[in-house]
Amino acid sequence: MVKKMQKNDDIITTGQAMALVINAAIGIGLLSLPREVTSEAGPDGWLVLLLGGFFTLMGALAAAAIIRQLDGRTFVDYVCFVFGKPVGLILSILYGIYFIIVLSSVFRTFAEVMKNLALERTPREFLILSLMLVSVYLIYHGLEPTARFMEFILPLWFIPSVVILSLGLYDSDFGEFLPFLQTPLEKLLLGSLSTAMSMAGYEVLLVSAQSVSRHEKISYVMAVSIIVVLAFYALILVTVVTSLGIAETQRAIWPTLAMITRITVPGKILERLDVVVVIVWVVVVYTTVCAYYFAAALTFTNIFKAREFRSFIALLFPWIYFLAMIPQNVLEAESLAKLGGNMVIATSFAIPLLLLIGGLLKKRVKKDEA
Amino acid sequence: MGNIFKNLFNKKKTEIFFERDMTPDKSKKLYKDVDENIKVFKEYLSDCDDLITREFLVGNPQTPKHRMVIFGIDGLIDKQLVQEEIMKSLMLYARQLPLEHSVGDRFFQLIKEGLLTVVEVKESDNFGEMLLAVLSGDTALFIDKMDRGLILNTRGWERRGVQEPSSEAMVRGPRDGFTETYRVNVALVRRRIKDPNLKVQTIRLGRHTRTDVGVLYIKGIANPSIVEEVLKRLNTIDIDGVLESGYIEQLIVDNWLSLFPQFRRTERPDVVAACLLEGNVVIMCDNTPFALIVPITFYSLFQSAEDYYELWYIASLLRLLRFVAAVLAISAPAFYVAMISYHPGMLPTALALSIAATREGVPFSSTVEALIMMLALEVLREAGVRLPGPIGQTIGIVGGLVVGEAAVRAGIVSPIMVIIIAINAISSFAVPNYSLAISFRLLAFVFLFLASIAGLYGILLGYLGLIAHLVTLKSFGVNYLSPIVWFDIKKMKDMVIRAPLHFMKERPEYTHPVDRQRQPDRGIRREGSGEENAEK
Repeated sequence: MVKKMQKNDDIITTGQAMALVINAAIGIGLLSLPREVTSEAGPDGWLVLLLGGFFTLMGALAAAAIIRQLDGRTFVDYVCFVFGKPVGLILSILYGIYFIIVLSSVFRTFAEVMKNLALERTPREFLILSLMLVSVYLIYHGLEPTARFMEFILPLWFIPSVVILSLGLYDSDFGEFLPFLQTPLEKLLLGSLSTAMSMAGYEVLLVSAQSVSRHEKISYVMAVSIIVVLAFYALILVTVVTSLGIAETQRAIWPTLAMITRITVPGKILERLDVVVVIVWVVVVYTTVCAYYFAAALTFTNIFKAREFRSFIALLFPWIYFLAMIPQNVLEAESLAKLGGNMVIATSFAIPLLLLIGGLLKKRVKKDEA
Repeated sequence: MGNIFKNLFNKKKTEIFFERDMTPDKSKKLYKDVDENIKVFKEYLSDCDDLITREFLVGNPQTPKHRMVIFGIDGLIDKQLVQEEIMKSLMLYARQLPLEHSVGDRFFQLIKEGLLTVVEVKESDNFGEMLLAVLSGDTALFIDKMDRGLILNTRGWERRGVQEPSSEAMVRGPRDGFTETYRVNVALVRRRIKDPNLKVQTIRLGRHTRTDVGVLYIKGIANPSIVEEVLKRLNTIDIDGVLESGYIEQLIVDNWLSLFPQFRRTERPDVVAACLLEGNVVIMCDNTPFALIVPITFYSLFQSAEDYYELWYIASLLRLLRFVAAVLAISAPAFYVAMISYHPGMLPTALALSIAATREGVPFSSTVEALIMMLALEVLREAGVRLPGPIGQTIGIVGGLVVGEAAVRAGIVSPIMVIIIAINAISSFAVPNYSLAISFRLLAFVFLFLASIAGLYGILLGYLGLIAHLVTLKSFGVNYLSPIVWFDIKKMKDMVIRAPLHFMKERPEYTHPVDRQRQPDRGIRREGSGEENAEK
C-alpha cells in the first residue's frame, strides 16, 4: 500500500536525471582539462572547449532522441533492434567495456592524485579498494537511491568549488588568452574531440534510460546538464590559465591542482584551501564512479537479460580493480584515460548518431510496410 | 547429537509458550450459577492475593435476596468509587426499588441502567473479557442466575501527575508532558485537538502484558495507507510483553541494522499535536511517557517544538547551528586526528606550530590520545546519568574539570585535545533528538578509526557512506532524506531553515497528506490593516 504513494524504486525524476548527468560528467577531467585544451590550441583553448561543448551537446541531444524512441525497451534491446542481434550485442559490449575502462582510469587517476595531494604513504590498493567498496554500497541499492544521492550531493561540492575557483580570479591576468584565433581550424576541431572525454557522462543516462520518468523532458535535461558542465569547465579553464599562464598550464600534469594551491584568500580568512580541494576531489570522483559503475553493471545485466544487476556489480569488481592496477606510473595511467577518451568518440557521438539515423529509418520502413 | 538439536528446536517449546498464555479466550462463556462463576474466576486468579472478592445480597427485606459478587484488583481499582457508586447503589438504594422475584433480562437492565452510577458500564458474557478487564483495573460484577456479567470502569491507581518533560525541556512552550497512563496521554493530545477527526485506535499487544497501544491520526489529513501500514505492522507483533514504546519501535522498524532512529520519540503533547496536524501517525503505548511519531525524515530529528514558538530568524539560526553541531559531534576528534597525523601541512603554519608545541611531551599518538579522552568522557556521561542529580553534577565537575586539568598537567593529553573532545561532547548535546545524539556518539568512534587509518580521506569515505546510507533508508516507506529539493525553495521551508509561519501554507510533502492546505492561499497578511481599523 505504501508502495503506491511513494515513487517506484527504479524511476528517477527529471532533476535526479540532471544531477546524475552532471555528476557523471564532472570527474577527473576537472584536473587535466586545462592542460589538454591548452596543449592543443594554446591561448585558443577556450574555443576548443566551446567546440567540444557544442559537439557534446549534439551527441547528448542525439542520445535524448534515442531515449524518446525506447518505448520501455532497454538500450541494449534498442541497439539490437536497429542493427540486428550480432552487431547490436557487439556494440553493447563495447559500451560495457568503455564503462569499465573509464572506471578503471578514474580510480587509478584518483589514487595517483590522492597520493600526490594528501596521502603520500598510503598504498594505491587501499585507496582504490576503499573507494570501490563505498561506491558498491551505494549502487547496490539501485538507480533511484543513486540518483537521489547525486541530487543531494551536487550542491554540496558544486557551490564550494565555484566559490574557490572564483577566488582564483582574484588577481588574474586575462592577457594570457592573447593572441586570439591563431590556431588552424582542423586543430581546433581535433582538439575539441579530446575534451569530449571530460564532458561525456550522458551515456550513463542513455543506458539506464528505461528508468527515467518523463521521456518528453529528456532533451531539456540533457541540454541543461551539458551547459552546466560546460560552464563549470569554462570557469576552471579561465581561472587556471589566467593565474598560471599558458606555458605552465601546458606543462603541469594536473594544472588545476597547481593553481588551487596558489590561491590566497583575500582577507586571510583561510590560509590554505587544500582541505576543501581534497573534499571536493573525493566527492567528485565518487559520484563519477558510482554513475559509471552502475551503468556498467546495468549494461551487462541487459546484455545477458539477467534480472538482478547486483550480481554484475560483484562480477565486474575484480576486472575494474585489476585494470586500474595495470598502469605502472602516472603516464601510463594517463594513457589508460586516453584510451577511454578515444572510445568516448564512438560511444558518445558515433554510435548514438548512427543509432538515431538507423532507428528512424527502420521506423519509416516499418511504417511503409504497414 | 542429533537428539540434542532436536530437543533444542523442538516444536513443543513453542507450544508451551502458547499454553502459558493463561488468559482464556472469549469462547469460555459465563455460567448461570454464580457459584460456578466464582469458582472458575477464582481458579483463573488462584494464588493472586491482590484479588478482591466481595459477595453481597441485593433486595429489600421482603423479597428474596439476589446474590451478587464483584471482583477487582487491589491497588488498581478506585475503592472509593466502588464503595460509593457500586456497593452503595446496589445495597442501599436498591431497597427502594420494587425488585422482581425472578432474575431475568428486565432485572439485569434495571441494574445496568437504573442502579449503577458508574460512568462506563459494559456487558459481557465470557470469562476472557471479564478477566482482562479486572486485570486492567475494572470491576467485574456477576449476578446469580444470569449468564451475563457487567464490567464497570473503576480504574484508579497511583499515578504520576502531569509534569514537565525532563528529556525535552524548553524555555518557551507548554510545561505538560506525557505520563505513564495511556488514557491521560491521549487526553492531553485531545485537549489540543478538539476535532472529531482525531482518531484513536487501540489494540492490545503482548501475550502477558496486554499493553494498550494506540494509533492516533487525524482522518482527512493523515494518509490512509500510512495508517494502514502502521496498524498492519503493529498487528504482526507477537511478543510476551511490551514494556516501553522502544519495544514497538524495534519490532516494526524498517531497517533494524541502521544506526539512525526511524521513529521520532517525544514526551511532549504539543509535539504530538503538531505532528498529527502535519499528517504524521502517532503510536502511543501504555506505561511510558514516550510516544512514537512516524513517518519521519532526517530533518525532522533536528526540529524542536520551540522552533515554531519563537521568531523564525532565531529558529532558523538554531537549526543551522544544530546541523553544524551534528557535524562536530560526528567528526570533530576525527578531523583533528586526521590533520595532526596525516596532513599537518594543510594547517596554517602558525596553528600547526602551536599545536606541535602543546603536543610536546605527550607520550601517545593523537589517535590513542583522542580515544582515551573520548572513552573517559563516555564513562563520565554514563556515570553522571546513573547517579542521582547532585552527585551526578559532582562527578561531572570532578571528572571533567579536575581530572581533565590534572591529565593535561601530567602531560598525558594535550590541552588542544581536551578542547576538541569538549567541543565534540557539547555538540552532541546540542542535537535535540536523544536517539540521534547517541548514534552520533557511536559514529564519532567510527570516524576516529577511519581518520586514523586514512586521514581526511577516511573521514570523507565515512561521510559518503553515511549519506549513501541515509539516502537508502526509509521510514514507513518514506525516504529518510526527503525532500531533496535544492532548487525548489518552496519545499525547503521547514528543513534547514524555518520559514515564517504565514509562508508555510502547505503541509510537508513527505507525509503525503490527504489535505495539503493548512492556511488559505491568500498571500501574505496585509500589513497595517489593524491601524486602519483603529483609525475608523
